[in-house]
Amino acid sequence: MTGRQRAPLMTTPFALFLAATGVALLAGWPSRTIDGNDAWFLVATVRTAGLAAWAWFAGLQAGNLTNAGERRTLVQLAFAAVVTMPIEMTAHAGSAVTTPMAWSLTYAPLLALSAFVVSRAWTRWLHRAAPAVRWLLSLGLLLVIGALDLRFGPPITLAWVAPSTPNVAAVVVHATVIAVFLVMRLVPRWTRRRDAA
Amino acid sequence: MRHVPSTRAIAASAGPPGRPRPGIRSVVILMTLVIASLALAQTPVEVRLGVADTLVSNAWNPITIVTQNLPGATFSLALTPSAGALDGVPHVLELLLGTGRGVQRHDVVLFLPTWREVSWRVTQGDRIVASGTRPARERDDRPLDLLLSAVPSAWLPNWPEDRRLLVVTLADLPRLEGAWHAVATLLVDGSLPLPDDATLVTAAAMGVDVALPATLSGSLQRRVPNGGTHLAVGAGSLRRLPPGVLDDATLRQDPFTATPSSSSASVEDVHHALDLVIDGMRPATWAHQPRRLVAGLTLAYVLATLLLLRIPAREGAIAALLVTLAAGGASFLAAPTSQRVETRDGLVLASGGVGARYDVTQVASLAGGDLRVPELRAARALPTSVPASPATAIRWSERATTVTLPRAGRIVLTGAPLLTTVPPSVEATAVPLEEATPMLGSALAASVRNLGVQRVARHDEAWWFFTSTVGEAP
Repeated sequence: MTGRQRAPLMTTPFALFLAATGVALLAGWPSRTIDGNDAWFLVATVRTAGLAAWAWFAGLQAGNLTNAGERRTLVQLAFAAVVTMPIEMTAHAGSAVTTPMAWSLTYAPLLALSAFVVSRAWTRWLHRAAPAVRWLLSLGLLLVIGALDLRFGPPITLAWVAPSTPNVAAVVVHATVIAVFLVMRLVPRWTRRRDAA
Repeated sequence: MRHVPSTRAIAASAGPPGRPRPGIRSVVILMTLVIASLALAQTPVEVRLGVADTLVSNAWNPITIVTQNLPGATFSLALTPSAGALDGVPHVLELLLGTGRGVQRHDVVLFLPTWREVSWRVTQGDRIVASGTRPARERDDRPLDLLLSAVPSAWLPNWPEDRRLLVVTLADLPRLEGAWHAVATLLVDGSLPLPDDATLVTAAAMGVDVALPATLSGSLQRRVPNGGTHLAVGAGSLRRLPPGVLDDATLRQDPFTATPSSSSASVEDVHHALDLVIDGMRPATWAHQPRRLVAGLTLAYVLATLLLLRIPAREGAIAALLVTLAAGGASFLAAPTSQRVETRDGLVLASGGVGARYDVTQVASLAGGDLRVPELRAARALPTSVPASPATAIRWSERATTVTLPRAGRIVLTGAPLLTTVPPSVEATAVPLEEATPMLGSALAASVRNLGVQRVARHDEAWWFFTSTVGEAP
């Protein structure tokens, strides 16, 4: 199959991510009626962590991408978030968790977008560093963010805790990161247009 | 020049002869007021924990609170178990002691597990009106022997040392049937007025060995046999003391040849039988969708999405989104039909048309949190066949028990023993114990055989165990 024939949304990370979410649902679903159903906790963690990891690595490669490529990556991430929603909704309904489903569904894409933005900015900032160094520093940044999140307040980036802990702080942090990204992308474009005019 | 008062002036200032001076009178009035206010300020609360203020651990105990002019007061009791599955789990009782003035009495029956400390207090607003504690050294799980006698000194020296004997008055006897659970024996020697027949029959029905004087009156005279036999009533029995056992305030026989000792179901035996009923009860389960069905549908969804996305261009994505939409709508069908499930079972020890009923409820909650169950109930150990998920707190109020459970938590609760009448239709369906053994299981059958059970019936989500009405004295 050639590149033109292949649908742009159907990529290997997408297929792996969808399959992993489905497997998480089955792994967590109880086989005995006497056991509780904790499938959602596994599915939410896999979905949130999977999307965030995918977005982070996509952000690391953003230096090599064109604007169109970057946009396609974001569309793929959004599509993957939407397509895995029914699996998480099934787990949510079956597990009878008290966490609102709206939070459960929106936190993962929010974290993913935020991860993409931070990772992309980090890569652009370190564009002169060797790729290996960039990856190592990126790993260090992840560890620092995780350690800070563990140390302070409600979970903001911890994919295994945050889906079951709705909190305003996470929304504010991620929304701010995304807003800063949008401002930094749109202001230069707007300035160029004004200068051209 | 120095002024010297005259004798007349001194006499005038002393007031009329024979009457106290105004200053002294004021002091007397003030002191009277202080004493009166102190008398009025005496604690207007009386709290009795247990029969005659004596607690029995691992048993249902009466708690009586009498208040006087304390509108809006609340009684709270906190205890922490020191053994078993609920070791360290806080138990709290909160009662609103009425809103009106005057004398108010509150009686509840509460199961007290083996505790580290029991503390209670009565508060009115922010003010603590009364409080008290019962430390661990006061706990004792031996049931009580109650002696209602004007000459207890005749009985006391001969009473076995390993038993807990309490000399009581009529006012000390439990009012609520469940409170007799903490009592093994009630000995009434006739030297004081007898309790009314209803009290005696209730005590016997709830498992107490009731020993009565040789000479009775009314219906008991006709029904309670003489001459070394007992009348089995419910879980306990009524019998008469031999004539002349207490002659001229002197005990003529050893008390335990004169009093009953083992014809009634002991608390331990009942607990053991109840544990076996709990072990055999149907576990509370959730109606999860079958895993195979979920696996099949998930696989179909994942494959359909991946295949549709292989269709080039926009059509494939739109088709995949439509499938996603349909799957999202159908996902709500994965919810179990009920998040909170309950199963019930019970045990009735019956004889002579009445019985002591012990209800057991197993409650399981998928989401966990606070679960409210009617009546004051006691937590018991879960059967070994179900996953352990202990409660994190138990709270009792006037007529309910609230249990805090973790996710997918479950708990077994037993109610206070209740006095119940035996419907003739139930007794008619009873079969001999040997025939019922396959249904009961050999362990439960053996356990109830020790209780003297001869016939068994299943009715109203409970096992009804019947003993013979009249038996030989042990």
